[in-house]
Amino acid sequence: MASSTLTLAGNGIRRGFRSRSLLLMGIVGPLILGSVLALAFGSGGPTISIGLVNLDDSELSSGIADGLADALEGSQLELTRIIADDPGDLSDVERMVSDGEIGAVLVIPEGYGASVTATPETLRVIGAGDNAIASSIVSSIARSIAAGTDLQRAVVAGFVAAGVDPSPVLDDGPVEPVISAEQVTFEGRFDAPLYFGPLAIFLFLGLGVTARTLLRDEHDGMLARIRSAPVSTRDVVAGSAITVIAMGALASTAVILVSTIVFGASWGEPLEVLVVIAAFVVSIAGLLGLIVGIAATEAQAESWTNVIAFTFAVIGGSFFGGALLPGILGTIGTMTPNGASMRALIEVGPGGQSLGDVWYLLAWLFGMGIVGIIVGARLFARRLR
Amino acid sequence: MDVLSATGLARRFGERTAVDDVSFGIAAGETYGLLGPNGAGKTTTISMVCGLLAPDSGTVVINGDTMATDRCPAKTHLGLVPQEIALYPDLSGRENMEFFGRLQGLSGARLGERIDSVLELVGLADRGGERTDDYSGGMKRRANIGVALLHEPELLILDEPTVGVDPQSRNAILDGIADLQSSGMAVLYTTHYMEEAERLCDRIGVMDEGRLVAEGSTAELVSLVGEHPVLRLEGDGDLRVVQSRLAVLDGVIDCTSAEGRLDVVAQESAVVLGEVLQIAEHNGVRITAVSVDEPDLEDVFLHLTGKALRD
Repeated sequence: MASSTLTLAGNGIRRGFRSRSLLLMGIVGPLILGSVLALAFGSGGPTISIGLVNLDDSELSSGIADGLADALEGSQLELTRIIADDPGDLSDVERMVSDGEIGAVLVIPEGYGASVTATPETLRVIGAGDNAIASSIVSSIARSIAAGTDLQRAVVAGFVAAGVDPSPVLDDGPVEPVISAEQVTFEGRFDAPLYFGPLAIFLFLGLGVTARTLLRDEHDGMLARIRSAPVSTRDVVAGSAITVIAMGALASTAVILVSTIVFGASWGEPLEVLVVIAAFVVSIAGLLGLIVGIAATEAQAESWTNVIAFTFAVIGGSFFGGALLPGILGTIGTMTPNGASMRALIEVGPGGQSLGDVWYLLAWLFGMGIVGIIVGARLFARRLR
Repeated sequence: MDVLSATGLARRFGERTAVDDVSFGIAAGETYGLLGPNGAGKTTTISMVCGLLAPDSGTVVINGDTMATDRCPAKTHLGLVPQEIALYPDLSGRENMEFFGRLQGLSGARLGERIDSVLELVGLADRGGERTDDYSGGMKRRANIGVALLHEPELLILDEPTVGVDPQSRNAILDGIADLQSSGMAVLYTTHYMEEAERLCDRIGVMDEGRLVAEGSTAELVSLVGEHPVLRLEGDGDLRVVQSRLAVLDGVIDCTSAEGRLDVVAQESAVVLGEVLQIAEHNGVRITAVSVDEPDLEDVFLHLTGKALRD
């Protein structure tokens, strides 16, 4: 990387630190709003209600149900065993979930135990878009159970392939589902969505100010002076992109640290949270790059930034669970940086999935950012020619 | 060898030709003024000289290095003073200089020395630590010029550096530029102010509609367009009689009278003045005021382009 790029980025970051707008919009705003939301909705450590419908009377399935109940004992997950009147019709269970009576339900299908030696049966998770945390946790539990069952199926298949009777193995009882405490419980609160919602909006607006520096510098003759030095247009654009990404990362980290240390918020595993935040920051850097590349004036770029920030906030779920809604609304919401990041944060949250499970969301965010930066840079460079 | 050599520069924006086949050169220690109204092509020409715009055709060579829009060695030879105050208002004068100095490849002790030296040169040594936002208009202008001098360029380009500056600061700036010129620096200067061009510039290029329509010293330009001094007389009596006598006098090119005033255009005003006064006295006209209006760049410009410089 050219030293002039680093000089430009360093200067941008230094000026960013002195900018009250970024301080207010990138750090103070999300902290205040997030803390208010956390106080209103997230205090006291919520109990998450999940359900279990066991449609299978096998020893394996009973063992799974009992093992799950034991694992959740004393955790913040409240397990309700639901007995379905008609195994073929779970509409009542679906209604309970959609009405919010229960967060999400794991359904063990009929014949699940027998599937160890026969055709595999699939565990089913009934969840609702507005309770993604419960859905995520139950999905995680389902994957753990399925992994245990698959292991048992593989052992039986191995015995059969070797011409050995598998009965002794099966008589020993079911393989216990591998359910770790980390997967089904979490300490304290999970406040990431409450803080991330405002952070996404404010950061978009705050970083917009930083990104628009290019347009302001062009208007004020600053860019002419910079480009009259041994500096290429690529250096200028790269310096600006690095500034936006670095300021976004620093502001986000500050919000995470202060909300955790001062307000006791829980964001989840630090590495996973930071990767998701990094993806979000890169994605909005790309969108801001596009705006700067297309807009003719700073005022035009500012108005576009405001419109896009609030549109994404609404459909991406910064105000409510837009990206977590079912169907087309959820899909559209997830396509926004706010929605994709929110979903990724929730899915990798406490008791949730790994980064590998949300690779498609991360790829979308990073891809959106990189493409936006490249296209925006080319448009901007074309204007300077 | 010229420090700056611009040859055959041309640039179009869509259908509009902004600069058309412009060539000029500037030697070390020479100040070259680029004169023209808004839209004449000065800014586009300067942008191509500085490597901000690529010419459609033509070349710019500074100190032997060919200019390009990317990271090229030619840019290390020039310092640009944009018309706008190109300083970050939230940084101090010293911090601004650190930033732009680094972009020019300065670092460490050398950078510090150059900043101290330039702050001293532009009279801001004791104000370098203050935000430029807090500077007066004149201080900002001086700092704006100072930033361009950090790397000791061989060519200094000033784009209307005195716009909006009070007379005292303007004088200080013009004196400073004259000092730089005498130190051997080549200076390319654009301005709307005729008196600045006449005071500072060794040679002047007159631009109009993208073309360099004339070039030379002020005296050369005046003689080039055939402009002559105008002898202006005011007096009591019948000036029309005097006018008719003067019209046939040798050396008088033109003579007009109106409302107590007589304008005489002559090859040499000093030579005909005595005869004019004699004829006036002989015809009973009492001359009350005499002045000589020497042709200046404004007249040259009007003659060359048919419009005033500020059109």
